[in-house]
This record gives sequence, C-alpha cells and structure tokens, in this order.
Amino acid sequence: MISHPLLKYLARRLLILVTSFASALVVIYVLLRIIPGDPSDSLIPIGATPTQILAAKHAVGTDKPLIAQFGHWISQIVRLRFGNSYISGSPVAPEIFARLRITLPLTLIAFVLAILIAIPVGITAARKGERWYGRVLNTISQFGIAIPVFWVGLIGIYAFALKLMILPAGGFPANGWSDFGGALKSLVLPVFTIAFVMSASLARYIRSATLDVLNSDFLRTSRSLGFSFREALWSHGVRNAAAPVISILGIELATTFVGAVVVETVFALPGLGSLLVKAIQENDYATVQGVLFVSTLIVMISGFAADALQKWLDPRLNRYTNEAPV
Amino acid sequence: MRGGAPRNRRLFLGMVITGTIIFIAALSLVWTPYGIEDMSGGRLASSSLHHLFGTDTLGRDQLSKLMIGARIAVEVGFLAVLIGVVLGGTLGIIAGFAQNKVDDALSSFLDILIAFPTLLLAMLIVAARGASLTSGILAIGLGISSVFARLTRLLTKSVLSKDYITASRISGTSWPKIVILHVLPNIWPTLLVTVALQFGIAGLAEASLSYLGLGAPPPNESWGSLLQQAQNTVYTAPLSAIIPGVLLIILVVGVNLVADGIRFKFDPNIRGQR
Repeated sequence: MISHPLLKYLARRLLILVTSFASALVVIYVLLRIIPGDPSDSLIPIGATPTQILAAKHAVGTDKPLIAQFGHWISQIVRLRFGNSYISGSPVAPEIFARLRITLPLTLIAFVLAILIAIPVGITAARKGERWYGRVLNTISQFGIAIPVFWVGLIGIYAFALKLMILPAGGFPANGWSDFGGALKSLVLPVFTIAFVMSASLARYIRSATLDVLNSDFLRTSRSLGFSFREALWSHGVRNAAAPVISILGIELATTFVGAVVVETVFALPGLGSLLVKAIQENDYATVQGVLFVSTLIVMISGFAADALQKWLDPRLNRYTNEAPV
Repeated sequence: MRGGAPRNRRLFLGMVITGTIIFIAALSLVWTPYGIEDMSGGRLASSSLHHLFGTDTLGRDQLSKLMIGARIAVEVGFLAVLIGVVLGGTLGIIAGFAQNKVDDALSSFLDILIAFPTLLLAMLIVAARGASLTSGILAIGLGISSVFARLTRLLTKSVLSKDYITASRISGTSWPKIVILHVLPNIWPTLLVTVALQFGIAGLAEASLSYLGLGAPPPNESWGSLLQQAQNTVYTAPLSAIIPGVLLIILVVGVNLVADGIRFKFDPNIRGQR
C-alpha cells in the first residue's frame, strides 16, 4: 500500500491530472464538434447532392451516433491520431510535431531566461527596496505585468530589425534547424520579447517570497543562534522561498507557452501558435482540436510537475491553498 | 510602510486615469472627430491639427479609432469581469459552504481551471463560436471566473470559521441569510481589489485576441487590432504602433493603482507587497 505522504500526494495529484484532462477533452469535443455545425460542411461543395453530403459525412464519421463518434475520437486522439486537416487534407499530427520543434525551444529558452532575469531582480527589489535601484526594479516589474507581449515584440521589430538592422524582423529559415545559426538568430527577438514580459511577473513573486523569508521568525532565530546572514539564508531561506515560487512557475510556464503562441504570430514563426490561429480563422476543426489537445497536455503536465516539486520541497503545504502555513 | 507615494494618492491617481479612459470611451458613443469609415485624410498622414494622431493606410482618422478602441477595452473589461464575478463568486460561495468530498472535488476542479490559460480557453471559444465581440467577452469572462471562484471560496471559508457564524447558525439563521448578512459584507473589499486587477487582465486578453485577428471584427476595432494593422507600416508610421500599446499600458496601470488603493483603504496594515 502507498504509505509515503509524497507518493500519496502524487497518486492523488495524478488522478486529478487524468480526470481533468479527460474533462478538458470532453469540453473541446463538445465545443468544437457539436456547436459549430457538422465538420463535414467544409468538405461539401456548394449545391452538393444528398449522396455527396452523405459521403462527406461518412468520410469524417458524422453519420454515426454521437457517443460512437466521441468514443472513436477519443480512441484516435489518445494514440495521437488527430485526423486530417479539413483545409489541406494532410494529417494533422505530423504538422503539429513539426511545429513543436519551434514552439518548444522558444518556450523553454524564454522561460529559463525569464527565471534567470527574475531571480536577481526579485531578490534585489526585496532586499534593497529602500535604495533607488531597488525602487526602479520594483517599478519596472510593476509596469511589466501591464505590457502586452505582442506590443513588446512589435517595438522590438521596430528597434532591432528595422532601425538597427541587426536581427531579422520575423520568419524562420526554410530548412528549419538544419540552418542552426539562422534558426537561432530568428529566435533571438521572440525569446527576449517573451522573457522580458515573463520576468516582470516572476520577479514580483520572487520579491514577495523573499520578503516573506526576510521577515520570517525562523531566519531571526537562526541568526540569533549565531549563524551569519548568508548561512541562515542558505540553510533555511532558499528552500522556504522556493516552494511558493515553484508552484507559480508551473502556471507561468503555461503562460509562457501561451505567450509563445501570440509571439509566433508577431514574428511570423511557423510554430504551434500560428498554426492554431490560422486553423481557427479557417474553421479547420481537426487542426484546432489537435493543437488544443497538445497544448492542454503541456499546460496540465507542467502544472503537475510544479505541484509535485513544490510538495517535495515543502511537505507542510496545505493541499487546498498551496500556501505554506503561516 | 515601504517607500513610494502614499496609497490613497495611488487610489486618486488610478481613479483619474481609469475615469479619463472611461470618459473617452463614453464620449466615443456620441462623438468622434471623424466618422469611423470616413477617409478624410491622406494615406498614413502624420500628426497634424486636423488629425491629432495622423491617419491609417486608408486615410481614416487615428484618434477616432483610438477612441472606439477605448470603448471596446472598457466594454470588454466591465462585461467580462461581471461574468467572472457572478459566475465565479457564486461557485466560490457554494464551494465555501461545501464539506469534505464535495469541497475536495470543487477545489480540485478550481485548481485545474485556474491553471488553464485564459487566452487558450478564449481561443477555444472563439473557434467554436466564431470571432466576435460577444465571443471575446464570454471567453474572457469564463476564463477569469476561475480566479474569482477560487478567491471567493477561500474568503468564504475563512468567514465561516468565525465564532459569530457558529452563533448565528445556532440561533437558526438560514444559509442564504448568512451569505447576505455575513459573507458578502466581509469579502467584498478583497473581491473589489481582484475586480480591478482582472479588469486590466481582461483588457490585455482582448487586445491579444484582436491582435491575432480573433477579436471583434471592424468597425468595432480594439487597440489590439489597431496594433495588428500598424505592424505592416511600423517603419513609416511608428506612432500608430506605439500609441495603442501605450494606452493599453496606461489603462492596466490605472486599474492596478485603483486596486492598490482599495487594498490600502481597507487594510492599512499590509506590507508593501503583493
């Protein structure tokens, strides 16, 4: 029997992950299959005969009862068979995986960069809040959450691509990652755009977590036992400050991913985001479903990972509020 | 108190900023300098007395379009937050009263919902309903309702754990009466802070949707769609790419100041942090 509290927590959390993913699939299915008319509509030419309509319905499977359709859809989609695009007719899954090769590096590099920027900024804003530079950092991170990410990208294009002409304004090398230098170069502006905006909101959380630790009783006790400030901070402070920040990181990683979705459109990067936007505009429901399936999976798994890591760092956590007891 | 201006000055400043934008939005209902389809100026004219912020590629007045954009931002902000408060608040209060298994299920559900990005949910709803202002408002409202639900649940739980509630229950007060007499009066200041913050977030989300071409179609163009149009001409007319973004930032900063101010007004003991 499972006995370790962390394992117990993980088992429970995994159950939630599976249930929530299943319910997300139902929502996606209901919204995209039932509300917007029949998916075969885009296959039917104007003035089609009833036989043609039936053939089209049969081609996408909408001639069967709803429950059977749903069952079929689930059995296909969990095997990552997303069907064929309603527009191009080519299979959706390979397209999605090809585009993840841009979206995932973009998201992860931007996320790591945002953390690397946010940690020193947040800690300095907390520790040196009285100094002018502490206040400046604080103000910038307050403003940062008000700045739309695509606008930063737009300004970045204007400044670095059009005026200074040191970086490409958008696009991705035609032969993808085989042109490694070119690929990296076209990711510089998008990465910094996302990292800039993400680091602002992250820095606020880090600042607040640092302030909590700096004002904590355990740090004072540790100091009064004769440890230096640095020792006390390393042995008690870091772990205590990290736990709440990590739970936020799960959500922020999801936000970074969504940021990437938007920023890809700004820089005309052929990633998952621009695929989704195009598919929505063209009513290409097979593609929309596939992309949303993959996106939801990424978002939920990152949330799961963050929760697990946080629980491991701070076993006292209240499972409802995700906040350490005061 | 940490450095910076006193918070009540923040509330004042925030009210002035937000009030001005709301005023401009209201004004656009009855008056804009030019009609929205009125091609009164030259193509991409720069700023002049006739066209304060210049014109777009079709010679339409930018100021008029920006005023309409303010209206869209305010409209989306108000309606999305209204949906969020009503839906999320109700769910949160129910979850606050729920016990054991039901509470477990509801709070897990809320945790998942809150982790799901608003924009992704919005894109799903736009995909299903088609791009329109209503789709956007509905989608953003649903997205932020999870924030309200989770907050309301926590606040309700903390109110319900108080002794005076136990006393009230023993003396036979009904549940609805407890909600009206005790829960709502105690939680609304904190909710109001979140209302202000989410107003800004709703505005940003709508701008993102519109920028992606998934927002309100013309002539109801938001600052997001103005930015999308400006992107093609950013080299020759940088101002039209800068102004909508700056306005958006001013609106969000304005409502954040209001939120800060309200928080300070009701809880002067808070430290200078989020």
